[in-house]
Amino acid sequence: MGAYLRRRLLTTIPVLLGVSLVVFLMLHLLPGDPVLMMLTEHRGGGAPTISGSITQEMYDNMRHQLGLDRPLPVQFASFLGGVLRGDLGTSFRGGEPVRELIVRNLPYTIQLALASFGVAMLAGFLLGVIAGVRRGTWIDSLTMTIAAAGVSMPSFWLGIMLLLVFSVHLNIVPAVARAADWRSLILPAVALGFSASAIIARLVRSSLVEAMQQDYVQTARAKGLREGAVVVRHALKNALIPVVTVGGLQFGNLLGGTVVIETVFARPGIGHITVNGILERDFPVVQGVVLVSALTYVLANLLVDLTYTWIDPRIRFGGGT
Amino acid sequence: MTASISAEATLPPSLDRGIDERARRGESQTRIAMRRLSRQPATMAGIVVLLTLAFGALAAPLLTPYDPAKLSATEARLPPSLSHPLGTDHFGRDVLTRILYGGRVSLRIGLIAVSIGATIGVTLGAIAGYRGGWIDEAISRVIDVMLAFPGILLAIAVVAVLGPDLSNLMIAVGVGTVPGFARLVRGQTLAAREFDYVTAARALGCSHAKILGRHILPNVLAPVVVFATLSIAGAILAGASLNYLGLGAKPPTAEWGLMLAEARDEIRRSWWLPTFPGLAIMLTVIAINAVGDGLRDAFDPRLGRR
Repeated sequence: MGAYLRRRLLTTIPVLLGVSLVVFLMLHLLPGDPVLMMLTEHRGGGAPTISGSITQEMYDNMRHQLGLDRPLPVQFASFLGGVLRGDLGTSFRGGEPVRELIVRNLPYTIQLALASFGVAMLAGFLLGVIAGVRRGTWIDSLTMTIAAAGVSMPSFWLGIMLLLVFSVHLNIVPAVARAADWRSLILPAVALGFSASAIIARLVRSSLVEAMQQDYVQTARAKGLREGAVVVRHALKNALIPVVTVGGLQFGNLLGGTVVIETVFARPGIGHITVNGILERDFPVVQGVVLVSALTYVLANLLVDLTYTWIDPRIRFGGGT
Repeated sequence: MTASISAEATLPPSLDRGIDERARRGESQTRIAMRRLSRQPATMAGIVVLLTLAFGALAAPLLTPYDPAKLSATEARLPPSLSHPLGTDHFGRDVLTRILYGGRVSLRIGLIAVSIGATIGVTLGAIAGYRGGWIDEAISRVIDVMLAFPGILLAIAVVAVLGPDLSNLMIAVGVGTVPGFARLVRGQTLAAREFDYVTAARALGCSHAKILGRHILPNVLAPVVVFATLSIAGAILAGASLNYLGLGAKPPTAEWGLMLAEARDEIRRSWWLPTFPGLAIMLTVIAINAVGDGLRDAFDPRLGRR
């Protein structure tokens, strides 16, 4: 396990560096000039130019202050140093440190991503097992039709429809609740998790169907085990491995998907500040958010891989890929 | 993909049993795939739905008497009726008309974004898989970095750099599909590189470009077509999300995601506003997915649903 773990950790490092480089370059690839953007803060739209109240001296001072007059590699090194110390710069609009903005908003996003992950795994697993066990019956067809609709449905639309049905018409769940209230998490989690659950359901079904055709299932049946025990103890256990991998990949989609769902439900969170950051061209914020989300995702994937190792001993002992 | 092994048809009947239909009929793989495709009801339904949607989008001006952008205060928030089958929105615009016109934008996003993604992705993947060595390493690491951005965040980051508008949105969604294509084609090329016909081509003195373009790419094309089809569905969903967030088309453009964003504040008054554009997206994506799944099963029956 040690060798595998070491190699897995080692390949994560270049990815993290690459992500930081991409995010760092974001600010430099921009068509606009970040210095002018900062100087013209709160002075309306339009392409900012050196004119009016902004003098060349102010411009040069600001440029120097931001360190933008240094060579790119030096800037990248200092950006990396900042990131390692947890310094992500300050917002162009409002001047709040980006780190604080993220620290304040990230918990809501993580909460939503985890809740929808729970919904996705639970619903996906149940639907998949039911369809797999009842393969070829109308239950199977119905479940798989729901799954086909699920993967084809925009999560934000499902969110709006859930609001329409459960808040506006049935009045069961409040449309707008304080983010701290757990009830405010139900609809967003279902909206976001549903399409992932459809993907997982399909996978669990096909994985289970395949496992049910294996010899060891025949053996288990032959020795007189109840069908329930055959499914749970023999088939399902082996069907689990691909599900963990795909489940882990889905976590990233859910993390990205929170951006849209937060907007639908007017929840605080990372998505909210990202969209505002883009529309207001507040790049340090966008940079910080993208970096933190990507890092979270990479680490989550690492965690999934480790879980994978734990579930499938062949990887652990084989020292395989 | 013109593998007509008709010579084998002369084998004695006893040996003939193991040879597939292609060998007996001297049919090309593409034709076999097309024939398999025509036997799948879900796929055919998907094709019919898509053709209808495309026709509705292209012929919208002929099909509806209304203008997708013209405001009419007297006709605001009318529920579905005979003159407005899907109702009107808070500006008095006919919802069906806007959905028809919106189809143009969504289909364009799907096609253009995936063309961009496929072009870049296939090129990168083919080079990485064919050349190997440090070039492969370099390209693979770039792909790893792209894959490190969760979900549609890569597209969002690209929109952030380019600025939010519809054409940048298409580029952004397209960039988001690059890693998938690159990985797929790299793997396929790695496998194809070892085939005897490639060795033969190399022995004949073919240039790398010719081997790649003439011998390898045509043989990895089938999975790329399948993946591209399914990617169009994903691109339409991602495009709708970005448009919903206001990072693409601007009002008064008739676009499904944007229509849903406008409908979000109207759900207490008009249920039909959020309902129908979403159904349009879902129907389109289901249809494309059905065609994609059908193509996959047709090209490679081994991958077929059990």
